[in-house]
Amino acid sequence: MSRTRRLASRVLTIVIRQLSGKGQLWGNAMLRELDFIEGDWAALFWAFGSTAALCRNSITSRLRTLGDRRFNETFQIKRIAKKTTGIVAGVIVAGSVLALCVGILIGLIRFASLQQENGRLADRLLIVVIPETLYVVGLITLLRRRKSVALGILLAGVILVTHAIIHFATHG
Amino acid sequence: MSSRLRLTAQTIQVLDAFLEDPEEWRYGYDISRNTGLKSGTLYPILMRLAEYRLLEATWEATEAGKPPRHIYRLTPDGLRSAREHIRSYSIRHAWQAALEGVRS
Repeated sequence: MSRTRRLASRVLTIVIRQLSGKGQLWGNAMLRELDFIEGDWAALFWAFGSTAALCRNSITSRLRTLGDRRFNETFQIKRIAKKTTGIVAGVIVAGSVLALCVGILIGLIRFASLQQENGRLADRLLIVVIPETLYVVGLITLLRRRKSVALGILLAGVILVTHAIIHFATHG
Repeated sequence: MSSRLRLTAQTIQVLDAFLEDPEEWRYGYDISRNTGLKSGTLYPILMRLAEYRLLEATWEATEAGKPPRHIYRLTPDGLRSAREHIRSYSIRHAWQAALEGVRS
């Protein structure tokens, strides 16, 4: 083997050692062809061309991996933001329903001449039964389409139920 | 996938070389000699074709003691795609030539 051919082989071998996976496989394919090239200078130019191709391929695949990673990170952040917004929206919807019920109850107490017993029943009906029914209906409706909003409603519902349990346990 | 393949004149040359005898496995150096493309141009094309699964590559067992050699052939998808690309490239080329003829 001549010096030029040895140099060609060495250049390519050094480059291949720096590569991994598919790059190394393609590098070995190029290196193997060296033995069949007629002419030492042609072999050297083959090695230089192969080196350039391998380097270009390595840089491109690294950039692509980097791009993919960044895309995944952005996607993850967007997903979390979307989910959080959904839950907050659910809590707001549930809070609004509760506020509406409380508002109606206050209106009824002020303007209607409700008796004490009826007032107590209306209290329970408006603040506990109606919101809870609306929560359950909303939860079932939204569970498949907008899971995060349904989660928000569930969260608000759980808080309300806990509050009601504590209230009835302490005040009877 | 094949629609994303960059169709340069050199890629067409390589596809054309494979289409001469689609069943035959070819060596990189032989393709280089047939098309006149240098290794720095040829191998990125082969890598891209393989990435898009238009080209299959395997190692050919050689005499004992000698390392195997990489050989290439178009896949059925590659064959179909190559024929389509070459047909559309030829039509485009013919149109361009006709337009230039009209202009001059």
